[in-house]
Amino acid sequence: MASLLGSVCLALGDSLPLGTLFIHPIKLPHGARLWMLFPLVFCVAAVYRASRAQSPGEIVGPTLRTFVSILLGMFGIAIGLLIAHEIILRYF
Amino acid sequence: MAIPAYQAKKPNVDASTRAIQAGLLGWLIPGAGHFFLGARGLAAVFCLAISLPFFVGAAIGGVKDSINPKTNGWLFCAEIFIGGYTTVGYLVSNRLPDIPPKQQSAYASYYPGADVAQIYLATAGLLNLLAILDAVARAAQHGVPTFRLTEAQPKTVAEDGVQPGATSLSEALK
Repeated sequence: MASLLGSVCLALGDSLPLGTLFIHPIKLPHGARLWMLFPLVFCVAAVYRASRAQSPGEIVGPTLRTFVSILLGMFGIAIGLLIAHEIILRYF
Repeated sequence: MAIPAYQAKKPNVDASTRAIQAGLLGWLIPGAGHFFLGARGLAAVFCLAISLPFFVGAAIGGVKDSINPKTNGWLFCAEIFIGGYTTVGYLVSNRLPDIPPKQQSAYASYYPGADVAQIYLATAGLLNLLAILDAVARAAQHGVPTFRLTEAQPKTVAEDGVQPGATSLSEALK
Protein backbone atom coordinates (compact mmCIF):
# COMPACT_ATOMS: atom_id res chain seq x y z
CA MET A 1 0.00 0.00 0.00
CA ALA A 2 2.77 2.43 1.03
CA SER A 3 4.74 1.40 -2.02
CA LEU A 4 1.75 2.04 -4.30
CA LEU A 5 1.14 5.42 -2.70
CA GLY A 6 4.82 6.25 -3.09
CA SER A 7 4.68 5.31 -6.78
CA VAL A 8 1.61 7.49 -7.31
CA CYS A 9 3.29 10.43 -5.55
CA LEU A 10 6.48 9.90 -7.55
CA ALA A 11 4.55 9.74 -10.84
CA LEU A 12 2.71 12.92 -9.91
CA GLY A 13 5.94 14.57 -8.86
CA ASP A 14 7.64 13.65 -12.13
CA SER A 15 4.75 14.81 -14.25
CA LEU A 16 4.22 18.17 -12.52
CA PRO A 17 6.91 20.85 -12.87
CA LEU A 18 6.44 21.78 -9.20
CA GLY A 19 6.81 18.15 -8.10
CA THR A 20 10.11 17.80 -9.97
CA LEU A 21 11.48 20.53 -7.70
CA PHE A 22 11.32 18.25 -4.70
CA ILE A 23 12.80 15.25 -6.51
CA HIS A 24 15.70 17.06 -8.20
CA PRO A 25 17.06 19.55 -5.65
CA ILE A 26 17.62 23.07 -6.88
CA LYS A 27 21.11 24.49 -6.49
CA LEU A 28 21.47 27.38 -4.12
CA PRO A 29 23.04 30.39 -5.92
CA HIS A 30 26.52 31.32 -4.77
CA GLY A 31 26.42 33.64 -1.76
CA ALA A 32 22.70 33.09 -1.16
CA ARG A 33 23.19 31.18 2.10
CA LEU A 34 23.19 34.24 4.34
CA TRP A 35 20.20 35.80 2.57
CA MET A 36 18.18 32.65 3.26
CA LEU A 37 18.14 33.73 6.92
CA PHE A 38 15.65 36.55 6.27
CA PRO A 39 12.58 34.62 5.05
CA LEU A 40 13.10 31.96 7.71
CA VAL A 41 13.32 34.50 10.52
CA PHE A 42 10.21 36.22 9.17
CA CYS A 43 8.30 32.92 9.24
CA VAL A 44 9.46 32.22 12.80
CA ALA A 45 8.34 35.71 13.87
CA ALA A 46 4.95 35.31 12.14
CA VAL A 47 4.23 31.92 13.76
CA TYR A 48 5.33 33.12 17.19
CA ARG A 49 3.15 36.22 16.99
CA ALA A 50 0.19 34.30 15.52
CA SER A 51 0.30 31.97 18.52
CA ARG A 52 -0.31 34.99 20.77
CA ALA A 53 -2.99 36.75 18.73
CA GLN A 54 -6.75 36.55 18.63
CA SER A 55 -7.04 37.70 14.99
CA PRO A 56 -4.63 38.13 12.05
CA GLY A 57 -4.94 41.93 12.23
CA GLU A 58 -3.08 41.91 15.55
CA ILE A 59 0.06 40.26 14.25
CA VAL A 60 1.44 42.58 11.54
CA GLY A 61 3.25 45.14 13.72
CA PRO A 62 4.44 42.70 16.41
CA THR A 63 5.71 40.34 13.68
CA LEU A 64 7.86 43.08 12.17
CA ARG A 65 9.20 44.03 15.61
CA THR A 66 9.99 40.39 16.43
CA PHE A 67 11.64 39.95 13.02
CA VAL A 68 13.95 42.92 13.64
CA SER A 69 14.63 41.80 17.24
CA ILE A 70 15.65 38.30 16.14
CA LEU A 71 17.89 39.68 13.39
CA LEU A 72 19.57 42.12 15.79
CA GLY A 73 20.00 39.36 18.37
CA MET A 74 21.58 37.03 15.82
CA PHE A 75 23.80 39.83 14.53
CA GLY A 76 24.94 40.46 18.12
CA ILE A 77 25.70 36.76 18.64
CA ALA A 78 27.64 36.70 15.37
CA ILE A 79 29.69 39.75 16.40
CA GLY A 80 30.36 38.18 19.82
CA LEU A 81 31.52 34.93 18.27
CA LEU A 82 33.71 36.80 15.77
CA ILE A 83 35.38 38.75 18.59
CA ALA A 84 35.89 35.54 20.61
CA HIS A 85 37.37 33.89 17.51
CA GLU A 86 39.78 36.77 16.96
CA ILE A 87 40.83 36.81 20.64
CA ILE A 88 41.48 33.05 20.65
CA LEU A 89 43.53 33.27 17.45
CA ARG A 90 45.56 36.19 18.75
CA TYR A 91 46.21 35.27 22.39
CA PHE A 92 45.99 31.48 22.71
CA MET B 1 -12.78 39.22 26.08
CA ALA B 2 -15.84 37.52 24.60
CA ILE B 3 -15.98 33.82 23.79
CA PRO B 4 -15.51 33.42 20.03
CA ALA B 5 -18.79 32.69 18.24
CA TYR B 6 -17.61 29.31 16.97
CA GLN B 7 -17.12 28.10 20.54
CA ALA B 8 -20.16 29.73 22.10
CA LYS B 9 -22.48 28.07 19.55
CA LYS B 10 -21.40 24.59 20.66
CA PRO B 11 -21.53 24.52 24.45
CA ASN B 12 -22.15 20.76 24.57
CA VAL B 13 -19.04 19.80 22.64
CA ASP B 14 -16.40 18.31 24.93
CA ALA B 15 -13.36 20.58 24.96
CA SER B 16 -10.88 17.71 25.17
CA THR B 17 -12.39 16.03 22.09
CA ARG B 18 -12.10 19.28 20.16
CA ALA B 19 -8.52 19.69 21.41
CA ILE B 20 -7.58 16.22 20.12
CA GLN B 21 -9.30 16.84 16.77
CA ALA B 22 -7.61 20.24 16.40
CA GLY B 23 -4.23 18.76 17.31
CA LEU B 24 -4.52 15.92 14.81
CA LEU B 25 -5.67 18.21 12.00
CA GLY B 26 -2.88 20.65 12.79
CA TRP B 27 -0.41 17.77 12.67
CA LEU B 28 -1.64 16.70 9.23
CA ILE B 29 -1.66 20.16 7.61
CA PRO B 30 -0.24 23.31 9.22
CA GLY B 31 -3.07 25.62 10.26
CA ALA B 32 -5.81 23.02 9.81
CA GLY B 33 -6.33 22.83 13.57
CA HIS B 34 -7.01 26.56 13.76
CA PHE B 35 -9.25 26.36 10.69
CA PHE B 36 -11.24 23.62 12.43
CA LEU B 37 -11.64 25.88 15.47
CA GLY B 38 -12.94 28.69 13.25
CA ALA B 39 -9.88 30.95 13.44
CA ARG B 40 -9.52 31.02 9.66
CA GLY B 41 -7.31 34.10 9.38
CA LEU B 42 -4.81 32.68 11.86
CA ALA B 43 -5.03 29.31 10.08
CA ALA B 44 -3.93 30.99 6.84
CA VAL B 45 -1.01 32.67 8.63
CA PHE B 46 0.11 29.39 10.23
CA CYS B 47 -0.30 27.49 6.96
CA LEU B 48 1.75 29.99 4.93
CA ALA B 49 4.45 30.63 7.53
CA ILE B 50 5.03 26.89 8.13
CA SER B 51 4.47 25.46 4.64
CA LEU B 52 6.77 27.99 2.98
CA PRO B 53 9.97 26.98 4.86
CA PHE B 54 9.05 23.30 4.52
CA PHE B 55 8.62 23.48 0.74
CA VAL B 56 11.68 25.69 0.28
CA GLY B 57 13.73 23.23 2.37
CA ALA B 58 12.42 20.25 0.41
CA ALA B 59 13.11 22.00 -2.89
CA ILE B 60 16.70 22.83 -1.93
CA GLY B 61 17.45 19.54 -0.20
CA GLY B 62 15.40 17.14 -2.32
CA VAL B 63 13.17 14.55 -0.65
CA LYS B 64 15.59 11.64 -1.15
CA ASP B 65 18.08 12.77 1.47
CA SER B 66 16.10 15.38 3.39
CA ILE B 67 12.93 13.45 4.24
CA ASN B 68 14.44 10.10 5.06
CA PRO B 69 14.99 8.67 8.57
CA LYS B 70 17.81 6.43 7.28
CA THR B 71 19.94 9.32 6.05
CA ASN B 72 19.12 11.88 8.74
CA GLY B 73 17.17 10.53 11.71
CA TRP B 74 17.29 13.67 13.84
CA LEU B 75 16.07 15.85 11.00
CA PHE B 76 13.23 13.40 10.39
CA CYS B 77 12.28 13.64 14.09
CA ALA B 78 11.74 17.39 13.64
CA GLU B 79 9.96 17.04 10.28
CA ILE B 80 7.50 14.47 11.60
CA PHE B 81 5.57 17.25 13.34
CA ILE B 82 4.21 18.13 9.87
CA GLY B 83 2.68 14.70 9.39
CA GLY B 84 0.90 15.19 6.06
CA TYR B 85 3.80 16.68 4.13
CA THR B 86 6.43 14.43 5.68
CA THR B 87 4.45 11.25 4.92
CA VAL B 88 4.13 12.15 1.23
CA GLY B 89 7.81 13.17 1.10
CA TYR B 90 8.89 9.95 2.78
CA LEU B 91 6.82 7.79 0.40
CA VAL B 92 8.38 9.53 -2.61
CA SER B 93 11.83 9.30 -1.02
CA ASN B 94 11.42 5.52 -0.66
CA ARG B 95 10.54 5.12 -4.33
CA LEU B 96 13.63 6.96 -5.58
CA PRO B 97 16.73 4.87 -6.37
CA ASP B 98 19.34 4.56 -3.61
CA ILE B 99 22.42 6.73 -3.87
CA PRO B 100 25.67 4.68 -3.93
CA PRO B 101 28.22 5.86 -1.34
CA LYS B 102 30.79 8.43 -2.48
CA GLN B 103 28.92 9.16 -5.69
CA GLN B 104 27.17 12.31 -6.85
CA SER B 105 23.47 11.94 -7.55
CA ALA B 106 20.84 14.11 -9.19
CA TYR B 107 18.53 13.30 -6.28
CA ALA B 108 20.87 14.51 -3.55
CA SER B 109 21.80 17.98 -2.38
CA TYR B 110 25.30 18.94 -1.20
CA TYR B 111 26.93 21.72 0.81
CA PRO B 112 25.83 24.49 1.19
CA GLY B 113 22.32 23.71 -0.06
CA ALA B 114 21.96 20.63 2.13
CA ASP B 115 22.70 22.67 5.27
CA VAL B 116 20.16 25.35 4.43
CA ALA B 117 17.56 22.70 3.58
CA GLN B 118 18.09 20.99 6.94
CA ILE B 119 17.64 24.25 8.84
CA TYR B 120 14.50 25.14 6.89
CA LEU B 121 12.90 21.70 7.26
CA ALA B 122 13.71 21.33 10.96
CA THR B 123 12.47 24.85 11.71
CA ALA B 124 9.22 24.24 9.81
CA GLY B 125 8.61 21.01 11.73
CA LEU B 126 9.24 22.61 15.11
CA LEU B 127 7.14 25.66 14.22
CA ASN B 128 4.27 23.31 13.45
CA LEU B 129 4.71 21.74 16.90
CA LEU B 130 4.15 25.22 18.32
CA ALA B 131 1.08 25.64 16.07
CA ILE B 132 -0.32 22.25 17.17
CA LEU B 133 0.11 23.10 20.85
CA ASP B 134 -1.51 26.49 20.25
CA ALA B 135 -4.49 24.88 18.50
CA VAL B 136 -4.88 22.36 21.34
CA ALA B 137 -4.68 25.13 23.96
CA ARG B 138 -7.22 27.29 22.13
CA ALA B 139 -9.60 24.35 21.79
CA ALA B 140 -9.33 23.63 25.51
CA GLN B 141 -9.59 27.29 26.56
CA HIS B 142 -12.52 28.42 24.40
CA GLY B 143 -10.39 30.06 21.74
CA VAL B 144 -8.34 32.35 23.95
CA PRO B 145 -4.56 32.25 23.41
CA THR B 146 -2.85 30.69 26.45
CA PHE B 147 -0.99 33.78 27.65
CA ARG B 148 -4.18 35.88 27.56
CA LEU B 149 -6.35 33.51 29.58
CA THR B 150 -5.49 34.98 32.98
CA GLU B 151 -6.01 38.59 31.98
CA ALA B 152 -9.15 37.73 29.97
CA GLN B 153 -11.00 35.94 32.77
CA PRO B 154 -12.40 38.91 34.75
CA LYS B 155 -13.76 40.53 31.56
CA THR B 156 -15.13 37.22 30.33
CA VAL B 157 -17.03 36.67 33.55
CA ALA B 158 -18.60 40.11 33.39
CA GLU B 159 -19.58 40.00 29.73
CA ASP B 160 -20.35 36.38 29.09
CA GLY B 161 -21.06 34.70 32.41
CA VAL B 162 -18.09 32.37 32.11
CA GLN B 163 -16.99 30.79 35.40
CA PRO B 164 -13.63 32.09 36.69
CA GLY B 165 -10.79 29.58 36.69
CA ALA B 166 -12.59 27.24 34.29
CA THR B 167 -10.28 24.78 32.60
CA SER B 168 -12.72 23.39 30.06
CA LEU B 169 -15.49 24.75 27.87
CA SER B 170 -18.25 22.76 29.59
CA GLU B 171 -16.99 23.92 32.99
CA ALA B 172 -16.76 27.52 31.80
CA LEU B 173 -20.33 27.60 30.56
CA LYS B 174 -21.96 26.00 33.64
